[in-house]
Parts: sequence; structure tokens; C-alpha cells
Amino acid sequence: MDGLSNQYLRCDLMFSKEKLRTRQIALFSVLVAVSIALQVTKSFPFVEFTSLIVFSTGVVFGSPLGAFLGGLVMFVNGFLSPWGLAGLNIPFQMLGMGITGAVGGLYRMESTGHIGFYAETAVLGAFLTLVYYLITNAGYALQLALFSHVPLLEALVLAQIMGAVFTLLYIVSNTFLFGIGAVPLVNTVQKLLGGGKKWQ
Amino acid sequence: MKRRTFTFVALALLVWAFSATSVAAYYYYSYSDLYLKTRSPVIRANLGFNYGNGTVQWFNQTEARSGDTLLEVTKQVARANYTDFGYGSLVNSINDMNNTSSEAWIWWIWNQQFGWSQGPVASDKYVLGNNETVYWYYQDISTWPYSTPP
Repeated sequence: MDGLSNQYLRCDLMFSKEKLRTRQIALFSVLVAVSIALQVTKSFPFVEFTSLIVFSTGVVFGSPLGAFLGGLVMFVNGFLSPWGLAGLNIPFQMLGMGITGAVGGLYRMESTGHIGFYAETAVLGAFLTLVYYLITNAGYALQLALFSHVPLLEALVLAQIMGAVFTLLYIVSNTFLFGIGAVPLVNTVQKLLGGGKKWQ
Repeated sequence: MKRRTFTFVALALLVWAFSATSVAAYYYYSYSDLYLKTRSPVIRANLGFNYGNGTVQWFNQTEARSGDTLLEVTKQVARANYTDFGYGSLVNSINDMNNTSSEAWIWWIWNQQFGWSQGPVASDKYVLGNNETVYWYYQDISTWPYSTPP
């Protein structure tokens, strides 16, 4: 782990008031590696697993580490994506995915443990995907305004409209993925950590 | 209804409302755009090719069928090699000038108000309109943003 990562781990330590054990650090590192590998590899069209992993990391490790993972993955993706350099959109992608991780941590605090988790995570998947694409479309609009001299408001509307179908397809796929995948993934990670609260 | 259930139902409705509205707007926009571009059976467009080495070719008033994409019209006037990725086709070479890791063919469209704008979609997804001016520019892609055509 580099200095920055350690700093964030200490930050989480302050939030959770628990000591991060070696196993937790190792597992978090594995999640970082898996997320980056999945993100920079071409997969099926309109299916991505990064949001699910980042959200689940937020649930297990807390908001700061979830947000950190989301930001880190999109930062690396901005340079290594098979679809090309993300350019000015990198901070917007980092923010969007960071929010996904942070919301995972907030959801953990709010969760009470019942069967409705599957429906709730599905809805959260849809909502977080919408938020992510609203933010990244805004980033695209800003570029349009800066480099093509389109008025900003017009560019914002145009970017949201042009990205509508793309956004919808990701919302549908993430609703499905979060619905069936979040609870088992969180439980598996908790189990690997050696127990902890288990979702039904 | 419990407050928690209500929150999640409201979130779901919000996502549905926003998605439905923006997709409706997208299809309305696409329909209007396509309608304007395909009113006449034949269109005429201006195509430019800048090979990045000082050579520039123009094919003004190129005739094409209404509804033809930029890639189809490009193939009428030049040898284009491309790969279809599902999302859209990537043009690998034009007239044997191949993309490299640092230089590639990028297409730009002329707008009276805004000047040159980078093509918003892949060339096989863009239906060319009457009297539009499009420019293929073999340019440096190692730095960002890409430079606009000269």
C-alpha cells in the first residue's frame, strides 16, 4: 500500500473507531485490483461490475474507503480505458463513482437487516447509476461548452438527451446486478473478514 | 406505508421519471433530426480529408442517398478500413494512412455558429445531412483535448 492509501485507511480508522487488521487491508487491496482490472477490460456492452464492487466495498469498509476506491478506479480508468483517454471527464467520473462508494457506507449505517435488502439494493443501483451518468454527462457538457463554444445550459441539456439511451441501458443492467449481486457479495466479503453483521 | 419503503419507492419513481423523460426527449430529437436530413431523396455534402502531412483533399457537393451515414459517404470517395465494435465503427485507415498509437483519424463537423465540433458519435452512426461539411483529420491523439482542424 502506498502512503495515500495508508492515509485513507487511517481516515477510515477514525470514522469507524476500529483497528484495521491485516486481513482487512489485504482484502481491500484485492477489491481495488479486481475493480481496476474489470474496469479497464472490455466486457459485454452496457454491463459493468465496478459500481457493484465499489458500493459493496462502501457497505463493508465504510464510506471513506468506498469513496476512495470509486475515485481511484475511475482515475486509473481515465488513462487506461480501452475506449480511450477520458480527459476532462476524469474528475466527474471520480466524483460519480466516489458517491457510489460513499452511499454504500451510508446505507450500512441505515440498514436494519431484513429481506427487503434485495429490492432496496436494486433501487439503489438504479439511482446511483442515474446519479453517476448525470454527473459524467455534465462533465461532457462542460467540454462541449469549453471546446465547441456551445452555451453551457444548451450543452447540459444536449448531453443529457444524447446520453439518455446509454444511461437507461446501464440503469437497467445495474438494477439487475445490484438486485441479485449486492447482498451475496457483501456477505461473502464479510465472511472473508471473519464474521461481522450478515445480511439476510 | 413505512417511511423506509416510501423512500425507496420514491427513489425508484424518480429514476423512472427521469429516464422516461430523457429517452422520450432523445427519440423526439433523433426523429426531428432524421426528418430534416431525409426530406429529399438525394443529399449533397462536403467532405474534407487532412492527412496531417500538409495534404488536404476536398470532395465538395458529393452526392449521396438520403439517410446514408458518414462512413458510407466516406467509402464513396476514399478507401476506408474500419472495425465494427458494436457501439460503432472505428476507422482504422483512410487511403492507406493507418492509425497509430499516437495519431488517428478523427472526424469533425462544421457549424456556422460554433465552428468545428468533434463528431459526437461514430461515423457509421451519423446520418449525413444536406449541405453539411465534414472533415476527416489525421491528428495527434496523444494529448487532450484534440486540436481543431486548421
